[in-house]
Amino acid sequence: MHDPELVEGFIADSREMIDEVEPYLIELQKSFEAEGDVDEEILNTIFRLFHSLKGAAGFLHLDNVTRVTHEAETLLNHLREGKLTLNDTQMDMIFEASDFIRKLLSSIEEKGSDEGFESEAEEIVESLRKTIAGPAGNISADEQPAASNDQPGAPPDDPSVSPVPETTDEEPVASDEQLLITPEMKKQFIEESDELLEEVEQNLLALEGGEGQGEGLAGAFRNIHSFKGNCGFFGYSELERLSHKSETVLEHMKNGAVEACGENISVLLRIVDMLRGGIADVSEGGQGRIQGCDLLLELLDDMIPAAEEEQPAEGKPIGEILVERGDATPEAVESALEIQSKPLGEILVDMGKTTPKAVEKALSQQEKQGKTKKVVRRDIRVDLDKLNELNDLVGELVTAQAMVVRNPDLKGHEFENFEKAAHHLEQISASLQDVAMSLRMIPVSGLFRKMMRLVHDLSRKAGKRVDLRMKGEETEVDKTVIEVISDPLVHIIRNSVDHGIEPPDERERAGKNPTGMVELEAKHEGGEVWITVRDDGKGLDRERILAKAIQKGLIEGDGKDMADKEIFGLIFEPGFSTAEKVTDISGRGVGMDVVRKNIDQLKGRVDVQSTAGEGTTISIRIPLTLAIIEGMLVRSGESRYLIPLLAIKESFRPKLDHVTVMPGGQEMVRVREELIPVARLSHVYRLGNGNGRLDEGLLIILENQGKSMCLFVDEILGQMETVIKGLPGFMGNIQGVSGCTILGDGEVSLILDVGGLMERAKQ
Amino acid sequence: MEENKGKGALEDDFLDEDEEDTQKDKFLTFRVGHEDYGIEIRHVTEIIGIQKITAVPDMPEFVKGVINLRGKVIPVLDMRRRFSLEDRDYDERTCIVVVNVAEAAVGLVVDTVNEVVDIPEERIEPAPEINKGGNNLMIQGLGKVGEEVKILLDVNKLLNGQTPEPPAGAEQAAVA
Repeated sequence: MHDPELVEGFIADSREMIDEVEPYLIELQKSFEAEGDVDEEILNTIFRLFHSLKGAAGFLHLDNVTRVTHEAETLLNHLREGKLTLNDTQMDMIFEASDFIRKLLSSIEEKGSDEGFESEAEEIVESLRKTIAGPAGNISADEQPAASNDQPGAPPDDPSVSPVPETTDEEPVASDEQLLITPEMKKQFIEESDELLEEVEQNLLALEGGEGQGEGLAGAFRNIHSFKGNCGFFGYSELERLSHKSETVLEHMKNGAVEACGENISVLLRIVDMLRGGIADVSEGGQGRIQGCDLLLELLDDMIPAAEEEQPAEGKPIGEILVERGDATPEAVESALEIQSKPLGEILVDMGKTTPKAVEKALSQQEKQGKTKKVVRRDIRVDLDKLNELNDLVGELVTAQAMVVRNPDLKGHEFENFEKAAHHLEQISASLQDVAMSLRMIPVSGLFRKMMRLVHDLSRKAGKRVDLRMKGEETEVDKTVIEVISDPLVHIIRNSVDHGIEPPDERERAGKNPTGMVELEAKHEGGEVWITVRDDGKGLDRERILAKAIQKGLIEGDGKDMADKEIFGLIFEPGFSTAEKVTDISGRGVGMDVVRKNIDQLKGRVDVQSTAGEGTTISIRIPLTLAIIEGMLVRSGESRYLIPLLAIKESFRPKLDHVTVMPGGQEMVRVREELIPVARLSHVYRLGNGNGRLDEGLLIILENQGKSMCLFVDEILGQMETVIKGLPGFMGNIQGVSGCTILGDGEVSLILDVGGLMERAKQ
Repeated sequence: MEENKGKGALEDDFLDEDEEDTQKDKFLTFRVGHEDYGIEIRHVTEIIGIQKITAVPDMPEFVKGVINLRGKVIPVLDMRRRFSLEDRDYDERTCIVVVNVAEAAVGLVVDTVNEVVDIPEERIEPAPEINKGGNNLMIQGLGKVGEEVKILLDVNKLLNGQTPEPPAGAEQAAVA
């Protein structure tokens, strides 16, 4: 095996390359759709990326990667040379190839090799080949996947031929059988599948409800089994694989190896949705493709206890299958395998197609290309743990420095030189802190690029045309923030595409551009990052949200006098969904509450603005980093607390005649036209005594999710930027306290969690 | 069994051959109220003077709060409160004994720290069979040193929020 570091580097590089390829592909497609022409430069870039990938994989003898990239490269080369004109099928194939490579990379990461995917690789290589040979007009053109039917204006395939699955070498006879499938059969298949999936869903829901345990499970198993059989017969491989795996999971549930808990069932429900999506794809003339099929398969795999994981049939090496089927002799397979294990160059020489010299030359060129690339690179990869440690140390250094420079022993003395030296030290450590912090910052462009793929997939699936625009991709954010923000962003964009943007005809009727627009913007604003998702869809429906909220008991009364902002905020409540039909993309009412949850975790906030008919804007504001907090240090009694600046609206010294004391003792203060409840820190936390007169201290107006509260403090000590530390583990989660920080004099100060504080104050 | 080498300073003892062995039977003793207590020396990491403690809400009464120990934030327990004794103002003899409980540092506020003593196993009586609940839970045994009796504490039980009278309204902190 190769040097693990080498392999690790390869994986990281390759992932980057694939990440880079995708946006280019989408751009390519866009330019093609817009101008009917292919942007050669983009094509060249994609070609280059696949080429480098192939080179690196070849060097490491990762045969499956090499084969797939090689074939993809060939396809791209044909496109480049104008032998082929771009169409959707080819795009899909390249996407599929890149997804497959991703999968292989994960396998390499785990097991150090890409073995075990031979048949799948073969399948993809084969379909790539077919795509390449496609328009040449020979027999293979008929065997082309019918996906090109999606493409408006593309020459329609002979309807009696479609759908034809991608046939593979393992099933040489399959293509003949497929020809017997008539459109009527297909129609029947779609209807039947729909019914079966409906039943599976009912079974699962019954199971979840705890009723008819055995019956529901058996029913679900039976139905999914029939479904799988049908899909297999029609040759929809993704549908078949996914349903097969679901069947396995259900079987394990039946024998008790997998728990039939709510979580597992909801995964299965989602799978059913995905299967439905696949059927919908079929009904539109597609191949029953499923978004993220591999991911789903993995998800299901995770549910199956490792020991009992069965080897799916398609996992067998192709050679073995060939031998089993009597299509090849063991000897032939062996010698083929031998050839396969050789580097490409050697094979070419053996076949007499080239000379050893030429191969050597090519190899050295390959190496050179790799080298020039290294020179250009000006970054190194660092373990995140090391960075975290560095940040911790810098934080402690800053604290320690303050303890030295502001040492109480120095009080009353004048040390001119010491002051100078101390000042210098402070400057250096401040710069050091900035640099250490910036190490963790990465641009949001990677995150945004992922969204390109998402929008691309979603809009195709929903039959909508959506243009994703991005602004401020270079904006840098803490890595942890990027990780936590990724999910919410996916959900928001899903909602925009699925519910916000209208179908093209509806848009045209409304006098809008039939192509919808989703804009993704990131920018720095003070110590925060603002990420905005804007769409020009139909906007949120105030009345429908209200009706739903009342029905779900989320609000009291009729909500007539609620502000739009408050009502729109309700979409983030758990279980809230107004989608009339549950689509496979969104509508189960999970999702948007994830947005709120994750943003809360980041101490950020999310706002919704929407105008009916014009669109929705969701803005997320989050602190730049989780490691440092910008806050206002206040004193209450003997304790000092840090309040996150983000939550502070204003502070003022109240006049007693603006204060109303209610019968229970609750104080309310009037600020302009608003009446805001007053909370005393000492009271809320039940620490110390803080019963001073309101006009002797200060009130700080805190805002969280549209609600306001006044906090009474004795004194504001100043604004500061400080390193966040967790409280000792055994203290658990304290409502209203998000952590603590060490002040300049070495003392510990608690950091307030405004959301939690407001909850506390209610009690 | 090792002879009582007397009240040698901590450092001297640490110089001896095997740490495990040297720490055996050694207890750091301290005073809280009218009694002397002991903690196995292997649990003790350091002894620091009293410093300002930051109060933390929702803690059992005996958890005084947190302090900064060279950049680490550690919880501090007041032993007087832990033993349900009356509060007393801290003075220059008040110390914080930092002990390691389940790999986490915890500070214990005690009236005064005395010395390290050897208490061989045969000089330790088991905790009394009487009144087994409450405070007696954290007692590992009673050590006899000459005429005196030291109450030997089980540090792992100190954090468990079982005080005779749990503070009203406060949530109990429990060690996982």
